[in-house]
Amino acid sequence: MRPDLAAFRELDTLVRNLSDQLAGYRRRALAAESRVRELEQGADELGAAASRAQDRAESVTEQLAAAVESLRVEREAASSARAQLAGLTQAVAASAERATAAELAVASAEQSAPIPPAHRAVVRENEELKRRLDEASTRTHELGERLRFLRQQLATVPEK
Amino acid sequence: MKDRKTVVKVRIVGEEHSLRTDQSPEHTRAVAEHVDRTIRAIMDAGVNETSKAAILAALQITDELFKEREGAEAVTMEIRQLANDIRPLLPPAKRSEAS
Repeated sequence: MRPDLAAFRELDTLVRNLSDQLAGYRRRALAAESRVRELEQGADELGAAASRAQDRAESVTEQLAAAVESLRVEREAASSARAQLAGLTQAVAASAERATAAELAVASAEQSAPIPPAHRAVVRENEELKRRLDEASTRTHELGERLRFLRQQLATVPEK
Repeated sequence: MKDRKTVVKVRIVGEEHSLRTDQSPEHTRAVAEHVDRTIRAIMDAGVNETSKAAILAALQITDELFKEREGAEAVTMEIRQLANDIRPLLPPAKRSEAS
């Protein structure tokens, strides 16, 4: 075979191989570009989801802060009510002793004479103290229920 | 190489020649016409003897042949250089051996 023809055929083979190689590179480049587009789209969606999650977290944080503030107010009210209740309990206990003594006196007096006005006043005071004690107990129970409800609410709020 | 040889009649400077060749008749006639034209051109330039004109024509044609060979060798070297430039761009399995 002529040297120039042999060289040309060799070159022809190399060029064809190079062409195949470039076609392979082109396919890989196109696939990579497609993958990049998919990733960019995914990143956009992820960013939007993150933005929504941040909005939701901020909203939950605000709700949490409001719930904590409400809880603090309720706790202070409960503490005040407890103090009032303790005072009332002491007063009731003292009144109960006085009432018992008065009842004994009344019972004794009823056997011999009508109830004096001073004893009647003690009986009324005793009844009033009992009524206030019942109100304070009801109020304390309500505050306790409210406190328990708020704690459940805080426990169900998702973390940021 | 072709199996069958053919006889082709050609005319060079007025003389008919029967050439037995394995080339095609068209190729053989083209070669004869080229020789005839070259001899006639030399004779037209002032050489009257046919034999002398034939020798000068042979020298001229051989000169052309040698120059063409040199040109072909240069082209072959260029092609080989180009192949050597391309070969590193390919994976080893696709690099054919240099001739």
